[in-house]
Amino acid sequence: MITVNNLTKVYNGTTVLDIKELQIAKSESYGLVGNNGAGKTTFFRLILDLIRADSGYVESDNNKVAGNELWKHYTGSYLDEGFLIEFLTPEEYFNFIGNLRGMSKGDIAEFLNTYGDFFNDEILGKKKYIRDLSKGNQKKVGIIAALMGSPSLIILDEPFTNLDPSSQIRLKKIVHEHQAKKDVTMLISSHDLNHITEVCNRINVLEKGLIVLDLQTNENTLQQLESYFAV
Amino acid sequence: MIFKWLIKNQWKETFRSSIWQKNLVLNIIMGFGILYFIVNFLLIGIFAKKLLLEIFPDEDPVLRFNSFLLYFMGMDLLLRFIMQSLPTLSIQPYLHLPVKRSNLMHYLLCKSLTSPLNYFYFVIFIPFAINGVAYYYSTATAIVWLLSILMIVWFDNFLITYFKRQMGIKPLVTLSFAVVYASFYFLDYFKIFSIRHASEAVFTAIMLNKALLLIPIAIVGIVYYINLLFLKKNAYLEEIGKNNAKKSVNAKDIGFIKQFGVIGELLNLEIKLMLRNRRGKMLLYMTPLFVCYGFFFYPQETYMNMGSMLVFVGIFISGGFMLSYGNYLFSWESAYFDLILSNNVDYKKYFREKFILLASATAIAYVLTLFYAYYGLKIIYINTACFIYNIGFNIHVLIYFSLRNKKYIDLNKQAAFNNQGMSAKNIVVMLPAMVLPVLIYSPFSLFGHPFIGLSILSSIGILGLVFHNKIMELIVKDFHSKKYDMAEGFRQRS
Repeated sequence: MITVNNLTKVYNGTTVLDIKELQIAKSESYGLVGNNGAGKTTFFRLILDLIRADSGYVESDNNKVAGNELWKHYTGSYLDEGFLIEFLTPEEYFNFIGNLRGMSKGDIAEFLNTYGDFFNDEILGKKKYIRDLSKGNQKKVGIIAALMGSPSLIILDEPFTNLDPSSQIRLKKIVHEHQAKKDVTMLISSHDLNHITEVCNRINVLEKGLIVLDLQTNENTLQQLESYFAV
Repeated sequence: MIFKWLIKNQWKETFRSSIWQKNLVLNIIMGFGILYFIVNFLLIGIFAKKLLLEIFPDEDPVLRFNSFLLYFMGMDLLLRFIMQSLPTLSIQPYLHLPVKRSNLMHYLLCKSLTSPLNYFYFVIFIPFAINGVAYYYSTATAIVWLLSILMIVWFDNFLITYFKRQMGIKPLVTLSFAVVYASFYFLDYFKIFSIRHASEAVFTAIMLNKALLLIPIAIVGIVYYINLLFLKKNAYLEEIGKNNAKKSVNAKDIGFIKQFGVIGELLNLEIKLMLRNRRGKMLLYMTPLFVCYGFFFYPQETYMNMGSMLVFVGIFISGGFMLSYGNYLFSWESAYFDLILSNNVDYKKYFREKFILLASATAIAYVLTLFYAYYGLKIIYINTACFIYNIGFNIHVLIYFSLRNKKYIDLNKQAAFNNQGMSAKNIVVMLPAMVLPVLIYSPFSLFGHPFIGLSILSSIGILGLVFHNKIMELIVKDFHSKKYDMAEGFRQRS
């Protein structure tokens, strides 16, 4: 699904990302962990063609993402607040995104219905703009919007941060549901080693821009990761 | 002790502010603007005595000058109401620290006094105090006189601070202030109450009996105290930050636009952007002014005979909105630019939407200005040519140049005189957009063929429309390589 070749990104003379070769297969759930500044967000931005690579390229479904808009039709993503339109109400935002992804009004209503639990009555029908929601609720809006229109590639940057414990558990359930669908590839980054081992079947550790560990998740993975990050 | 730190931090805040890191060209232009005003004011101050003696030869120029001081106070209040911003957010980082709340309040209030803009007027008053007041009276009188003016400035400062703060909480209080202000104006206008005489009486009395200076000082003290009480009552974090008065959501979609698929969706979004954010609203309030701009020119014979001036006006009245919105075209959406880039938005449609937005705003403005036919058909010919030029040429130029604007705009910052997100490029674009048509038209008009000039302007516009698709294609191509830098710039949010 995703092929990375010789990808580097340099900021002010420091190489913040350097991935020689990486293949992420269709319907894989790929997890990315790493300390602050390891290059997780940079990597995701490169996959979404939001920043220019200094060398190399990313291919999505065998097409280079740079200078190409094909990947947009099947990719849903939420990285940060830059993906939210703060002066819209959540409903308006969902409608906007839903329309862009070719959903009808009925589709959107039906889709949102299934996330009633996750929204916990704090998001829909509140007559509030997104800018007036709490950080956690803003995040929920962004994540759910990324899932609209059944994308076959879903990219979420630290989806669990800022969510309350119940919401984290519900989000895990939601993620699992989407993974169960045929041919859905998911890329998730997290600082929480527990969460990432629970939702991903392959985990990469990024350190200072380099992939230093590439693990297929099994019962030892969590321990491996914990010992890697122990100081 | 704490004041020392607060002042230190304040100093850093000022000098590390992004204003100084703005483009050099812009700083120079602004520098010249400020210098221009200082020189003008200085000249007024120096020659005020001479002027007053010429106009009122038998009267004491100082007393005459005094009679204008209350008008000055009124003007100052009005200007402050529009321009002065509230120094609020900056105390947030201190509220949780072991600092006495009342100290912070004092600091906050006094901080506004440190703005150099407060003392700008003294460029007029000090020369007059020296060659007028000190000359006719004494140096001590001149000092007292300057102090009394200083009290006006401080009074205005605190009064406006108070009413501006109240505006978020009790708008009626601010409204009543406006009513009082306006009634003074009318009382004076209908000669029921003479502000001129009151002004002369008050300030002359202070000059002659220096102890009376205590009265304005006391008044400033009272206003300060009122402010302090108000702050103490309201200084909680939740009330300081945003406008806490959360207005109810106006969840209106403009139905018929929605039919146009993705383009309609994007148009709707941008209309909401304008309606729901301060900066956008301010632009919308200004737009009628652009349309009415003609009233300054058309009734006057001198302008009516200056064809080039009319072309300039013509470009502006139909293109006012287009120029001021289009200049920042993508910066308006800087807060969610990443979303646009990574979502299923076809760039061709995205640019088409931008064009439609600007073109329809221009068209609406054009239709509204048809009533200027009252001042002669000539106006309509000129405005029509300008309208075509605007749509066919200027819009494309604006879109092209706005790809080079990488500054983030905070939509909820106050808009009047807010040049955040502005760079020298914006000015550079505005100039050709407004000056180029004048340059094209003028030679023909000078040699007595204004219609050829207008035809050329229209032809340029029509050519632009004919090649619209081709031009847009090139712009979209350019966008593919520019978008990274734009997105990168928009992510820098300070």
